[in-house]
Amino acid sequence: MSQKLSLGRAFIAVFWSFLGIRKDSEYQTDITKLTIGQVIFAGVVCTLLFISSLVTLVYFVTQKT
Amino acid sequence: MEATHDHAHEDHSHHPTGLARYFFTTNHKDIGSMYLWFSLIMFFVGGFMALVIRAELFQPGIQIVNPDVFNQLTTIHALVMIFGAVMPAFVGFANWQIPLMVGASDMAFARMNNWSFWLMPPAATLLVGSFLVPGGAAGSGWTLYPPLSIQGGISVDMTILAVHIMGASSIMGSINIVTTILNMRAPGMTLMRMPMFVWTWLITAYLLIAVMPVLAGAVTMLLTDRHFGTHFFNAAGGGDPTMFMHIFWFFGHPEVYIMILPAFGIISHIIPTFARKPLFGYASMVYATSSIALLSFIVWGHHMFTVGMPAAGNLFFMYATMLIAVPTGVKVFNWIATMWKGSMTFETPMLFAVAFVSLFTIGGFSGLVLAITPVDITLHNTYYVVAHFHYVLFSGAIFSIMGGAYYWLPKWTGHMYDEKLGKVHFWLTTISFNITFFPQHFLGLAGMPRRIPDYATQFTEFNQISSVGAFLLGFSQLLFLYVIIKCIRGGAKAEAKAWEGAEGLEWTVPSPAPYHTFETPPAFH
Repeated sequence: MSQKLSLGRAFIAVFWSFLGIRKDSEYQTDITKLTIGQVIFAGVVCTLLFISSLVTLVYFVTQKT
Repeated sequence: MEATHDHAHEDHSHHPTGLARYFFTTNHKDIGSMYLWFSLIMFFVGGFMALVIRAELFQPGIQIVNPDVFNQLTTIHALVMIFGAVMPAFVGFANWQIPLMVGASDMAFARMNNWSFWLMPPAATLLVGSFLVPGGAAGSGWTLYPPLSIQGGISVDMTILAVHIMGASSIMGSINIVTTILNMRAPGMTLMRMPMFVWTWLITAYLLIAVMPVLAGAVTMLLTDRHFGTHFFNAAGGGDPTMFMHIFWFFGHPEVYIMILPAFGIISHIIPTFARKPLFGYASMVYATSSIALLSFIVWGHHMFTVGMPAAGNLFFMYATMLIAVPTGVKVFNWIATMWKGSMTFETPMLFAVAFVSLFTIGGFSGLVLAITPVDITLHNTYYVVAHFHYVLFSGAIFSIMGGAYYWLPKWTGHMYDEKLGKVHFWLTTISFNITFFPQHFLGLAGMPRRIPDYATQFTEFNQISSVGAFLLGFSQLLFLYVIIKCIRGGAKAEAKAWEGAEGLEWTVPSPAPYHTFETPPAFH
């Protein structure tokens, strides 16, 4: 259960990292609860999601109306 | 941040003397110094080429060099400055500072460290020496695009070999840096307590390991196309020259970040020191740096908007590129927030840091302008691009190197540099830099192409202003050399903690830093 929670937390941390901002108290919790493996996993998944969302956006923009 | 450490046993600074010391050294401080001197020499070599370029462009027509030599100068100026001046300078800083900052006795692979450095002089000799072979140096531009680079003479092979050697050196340096940072930190220094310079170099080292082999692959394919009958990039043989551009820029864009992330690290030390406040938003800085590094892999296509990619491709690269402005903006705001209400003083390192923040931001904004596909189709290959990347690389990377050099010179030499001369150097550099490169925005907007030795007469005035600025900028750097030599030879004695507001383990060892430091790891609180 705690494993699942911290994986979710890793996704949230990576999401904020894409913006480059993180609240200090949240960040302190991150460094105690997250493992490097979880962060890398979340980072790779978020990067793929990010690229897919950009591709989807471009797909809709380039559709002929 | 404080360290308790006994230095009494560290006075045995025995080491080989004379040339042998430098050939065989495995000491991170010696190797760091050699990297820094090598970088300074290459900075002057590349700068000399820039001055010949600017002298030729002082007025329309061909005056000093013929067009072939002009192309060779632009090509080798870029390669020398990127691979010979900026990257080795940052590796020099890494060698000196990372072990001192993390409390390690030396780099993890000390002997490989020696080899990483000694690969650089042969590579530089190949690059610069290629001017002397029949046909002159490579004239294809630093990007080495085929078919020009396939048609060139033996100098292109020398350039390819030089790029290979420098790539191998960078990869070895990076492995060394990653291993040192991950394994040799003082007890108590967790990853998220590392100094920002160490963080930015850790991420840079991963970028280098990821992209240098890609460059090596690209230039190897060029080599086999040239000599072994392959047709990777030859359309007549079923190959595709555009593929080279994709592979090259898959390396080339992260390379841009390789040259700026350590600069961010240096600035993140200088500003808190002279604002006498801790860095605002440390975690944000780490996250923003990682984010910039990740994004750097998916934006290479913005160098190729005019190549003829599908509109969907152009749009993807445009959106992705513009998003990089977000984490970069976070960093700029963090530096400003660090200065906000700080007890600021403006010693030379701080002047360079403040100039970095403002001028790098101008370079970042012109980058955003170029990221807009339809705008780039007009501005591609004009002087606007030249202005943009010099704002990023000169007032970005090189200003941080100069600021960092002034900042750590007291630690390296044991003497304070001449503050008055340092400030004169700063103002001369900053003013002449802007005289040189700001008018190039106007030239680009007016349509002057880059990499041409002659131009239409309506571009004359701005070119003349730019050339005058360039000569002032170039000769101002002799003052930098003088200040460094003067500081090495003497000056006011520097204390262990040379700057009142400085924080970190490197300031707990005496100045100059003894030949061997942290033989037993310090306690890090």
